[in-house]
Amino acid sequence: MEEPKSTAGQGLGIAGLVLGILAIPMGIFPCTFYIGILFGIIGIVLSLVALSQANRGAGPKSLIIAALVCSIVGLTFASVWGFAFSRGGARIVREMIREGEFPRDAFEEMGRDDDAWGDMESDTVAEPRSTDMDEMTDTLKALEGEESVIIE
Amino acid sequence: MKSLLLLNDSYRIINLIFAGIILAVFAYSLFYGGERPYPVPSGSEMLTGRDTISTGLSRSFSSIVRFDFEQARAYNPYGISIFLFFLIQFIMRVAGYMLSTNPRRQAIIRLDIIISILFFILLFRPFLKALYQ
Repeated sequence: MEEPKSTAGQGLGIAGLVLGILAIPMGIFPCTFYIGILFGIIGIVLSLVALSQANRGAGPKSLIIAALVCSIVGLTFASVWGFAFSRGGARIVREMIREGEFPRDAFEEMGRDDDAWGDMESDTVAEPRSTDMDEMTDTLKALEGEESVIIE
Repeated sequence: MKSLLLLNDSYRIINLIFAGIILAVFAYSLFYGGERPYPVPSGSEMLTGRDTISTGLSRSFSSIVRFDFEQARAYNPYGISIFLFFLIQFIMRVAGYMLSTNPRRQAIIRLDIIISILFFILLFRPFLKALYQ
């Protein structure tokens, strides 16, 4: 007489597989990455619990391993988007703060030209310049090592 | 009933679940869109306020299930090829479920994996290429 097969961990394994399969497309598409992260994490947890149940009850593991792999793949895709958006989001917030601190109109009122604003936008500090008696403009760095007389 | 469905077989369960999920996606696309707004908001748009490569994919799927392919392409240029992948997968899952009791089961599973990967590469390639550019 054939011994009945154990079904230990199969219920949770199926739940993990559903979430893992859903996590993959959700993670690939940028619009639904947050659902991919959620489904991926829950899928991994369910699969791990199912795997331990299957180990204890000598149940089949192939479905549970498939669930675990799908959940990990889905979570990986989704995490890439999460990381990209968190960096992108942080940059946008930084730009907004910078724009709030240095509104373009205020710069124009102060008599600063557009080049100065451009330097502020690109996160670089404008290099100090010097105009000599022949009306030739040069950067202070270019004059390094030369003797100069500063006339106010 | 359980012996009839052979739910102790992992391959059959995977096919059944996958087919069910794809069917649910089609039903979601048919139910929402048009008059009804989608219940799932775009995460990328919420965070960045900008459109992404997958923007309009749900609307594109909704147009496809209503056989409006021009509109589907307008909403998202990759919508039709991605939808086609899921449609092929649905047919393959149903076929896989039916053929799982076949004596040449191992060969069928190997063929299933190879065909699925090839279709994924073929139909997702333009989308993934644009996505990671």
